[in-house]
Amino acid sequence: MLQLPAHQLFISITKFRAQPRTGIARRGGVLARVIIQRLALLILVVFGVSLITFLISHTVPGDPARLMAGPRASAETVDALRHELGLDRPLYAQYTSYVGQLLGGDFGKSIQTGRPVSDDLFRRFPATIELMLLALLTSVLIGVPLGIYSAVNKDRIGDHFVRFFSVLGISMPSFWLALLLMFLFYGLWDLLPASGRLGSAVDPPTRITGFYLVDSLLTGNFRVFGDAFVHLLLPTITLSVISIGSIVRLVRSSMLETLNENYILMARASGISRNRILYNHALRNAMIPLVTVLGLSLADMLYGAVVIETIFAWPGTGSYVVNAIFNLDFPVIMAFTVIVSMAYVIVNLLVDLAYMLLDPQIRAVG
Amino acid sequence: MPLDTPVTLASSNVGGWSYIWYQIRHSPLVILGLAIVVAMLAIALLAPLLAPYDPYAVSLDDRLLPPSAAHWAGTDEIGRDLLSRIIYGARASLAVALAIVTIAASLGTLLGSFSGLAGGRIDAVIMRLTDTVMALPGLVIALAMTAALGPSLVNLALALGILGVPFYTRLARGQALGLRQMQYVLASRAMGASTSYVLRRHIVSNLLSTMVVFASMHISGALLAAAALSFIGLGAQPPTAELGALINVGRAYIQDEWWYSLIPGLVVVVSALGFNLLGDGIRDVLDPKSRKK
Repeated sequence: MLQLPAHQLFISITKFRAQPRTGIARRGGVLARVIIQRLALLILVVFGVSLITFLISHTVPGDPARLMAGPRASAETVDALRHELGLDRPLYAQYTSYVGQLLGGDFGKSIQTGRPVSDDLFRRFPATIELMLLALLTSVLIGVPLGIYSAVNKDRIGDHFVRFFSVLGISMPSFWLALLLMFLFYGLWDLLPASGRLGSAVDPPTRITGFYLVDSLLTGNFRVFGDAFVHLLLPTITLSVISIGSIVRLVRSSMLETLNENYILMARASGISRNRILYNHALRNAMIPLVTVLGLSLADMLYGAVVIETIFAWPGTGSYVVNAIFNLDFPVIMAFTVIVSMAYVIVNLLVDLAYMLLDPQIRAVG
Repeated sequence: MPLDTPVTLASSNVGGWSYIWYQIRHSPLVILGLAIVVAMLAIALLAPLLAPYDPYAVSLDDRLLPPSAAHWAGTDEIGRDLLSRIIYGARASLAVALAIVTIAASLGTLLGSFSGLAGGRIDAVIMRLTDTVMALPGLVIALAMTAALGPSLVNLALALGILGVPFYTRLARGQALGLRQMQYVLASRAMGASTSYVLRRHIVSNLLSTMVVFASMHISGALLAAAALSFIGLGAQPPTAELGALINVGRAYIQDEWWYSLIPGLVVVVSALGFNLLGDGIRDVLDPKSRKK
C-alpha cells in the first residue's frame, strides 16, 4: 500500500493513455510507434531518476564514510575511507563516472556490505518476487470473482457488503494490517510464524530459481516446502488485502459498464439465458481492464513490499533498501530506484501493448 | 468521456452543489463518509480543547498503563497520555495529507492550465516532463527524497506533494484544451486580454470545481502514504505525535500493550475510509454515465 496515493483514482487516465490519439494507421505501425515512444521515455526516466537520486543523495548532511568507520575512528581513517570511496571528488565527476558504470551494468559496491550491489540485489530479488507473485495470484483469484458477483447483484445486500469491504481494504494501511495479523496469528494464537522465509531449524533448498516453493518441490523436499509456505502466509495475506480492494472496485465498475451496453440488451431481447449472456458476452469484454489491474497491482505491491518486508523481516529487496536508507548507503538506494523505475516503465508498456492486442476497438481506432 | 471535453460542475445542466447534496443525502455510505470526515476535521481543529492531557507531558511513574478511566487509551513508554497523543497525531496526519493535496492540486492546476492554454512547444515540453515524473515509481522516489532531505513532516509533505503534481497537470491540461476553444475565451483574447488574465478569469476558475472533486479523492491516499513513510521513520521525528510514528513506536510493545499501536492504526483506517467513501460518493454523482439513468 505504500501506494502512490492517487493510483486507484487515476485508472481512467491510464485507460486513455492506451489510446493513440490521431490518424488511422495499421496496427503494426501503431505498435511500433508506441514501443519507440516508450523506449525513449525509458531512457529519459533512467537518466532523470539517476540524476535526481544522485543529486539528493549526495547533498545529504550525513557522512557515509563516518557512518561506516564508526564513531570511534580517527579523522584520518575517515578521510582515507572517503577518498577510497571517491566521495571527496567533485559532484559532477562522481556523477559522470557513476553513469559510465551504470551503462556497463555496474551499480557499484554497497558501502555497508562491501559486496557489489547487483550481487546483493540478485540474491534478494527472488524472495520479493515470490512474495509479490503469490500475493498477485491470491488477489486476482479472490478479487475478480467478488467484483463480478458485486456487479451482477448490484444494489443488493451482497453488493453493499462487498463494496464496503473493498473500500475498507483500500483504506487500510498495510503496515498496520501486518502488525495486526502478526499480533493475532503469532502473538496471541501462535499459529503462524511471523518473520523470515524459513524456520531456523530448516535449511534453504538448493538454489535453482531462488523461489523456495519451487526449489523445494523440484528437489522433492516437502518439509521445506511446508515451512516456506507457512512463512509466506502472513506477508502474502497483508499484501493481497490491499490490492483485492482496488481489483474488486475496478472489475465491478467495468462489468457494470459492459452490462449496460446495447449488445447485452440485444442478447437479452433475443431470449438468451442469463448465465450465457454473463459468461459468453459480458465477461470477456469486462475482463479487458484486468490487464491494467494487474499492472497497477504489481506497482502497488512494489511499494507495499518495501514496508511489509521490514515488518516481517523478509530477506527481500524492500527490507534491504530501507536498511540502506538509514545507513546512507548511496549505491544501494540509487541502484534500487533506477531498477524499480525501469521495471515500472516496462510494466506500463506491457500493459498498454496488451491493451492494444486485446481490445479490438482500440486497435481499430488506432 | 474524452478528457478534452470540459465537464465541469458549472457546465453541467443539473444545478451544481445543491444537486450533489440532493444525491448524497440518499446514500448511506456517503453520509457515513461525510460524518467521519466532519468528525475528523473537528478533532484536528479542536485538538487542544479535546485532548485531556498535554501530549508531551512526561510522567515516568505512569509508564505503559493500560486503558482506564483516567487514560482512555493508556499511556506510552514514558508516561504520556496516549489519547492526547492520538488526537494530536490525527491533527498532524491530517494536516500533512491536506498539505500534500494542496501542493499537488495548486501546482498541477496552474501548470496544466498554462500548458493547455499555451499549446505548441511549451505544452510539449511540460507534457513530456509530466510523463517522465508519472513514469517514476512515486513512493520509491519519495522514500529517496525524504531520506536525502532529512526526515521531517515538512519534507515528507513536499516530496509527496511534488510527486502528485503530474496527475493534476494532466487533468487540468485536458480541460484547458477544451476551454480555450470556447467562444468567450476567444472573444476575451480578441479584445486583447493578457494570457494571465485569461488563465485566471476563464481557465482556472472553470477548472476549480473539477479539481476540488479530484482532490477530495486524493486525500485518503495521501494520508496513507504519509503515515506509511512516518511509520518507517521518514516522517515525523520524536517527540512529535503523528499516527504513523505512534504505530511504529507501539510496535515494540505489541505483545503486552497491543492497544498502543492498534488504536492509532484504527484512527488511520477510519479517517481513510471516511475520505474514500465521501470521494466515491462525489465522483458517482458527477459521473455522467451513472447520471444518465
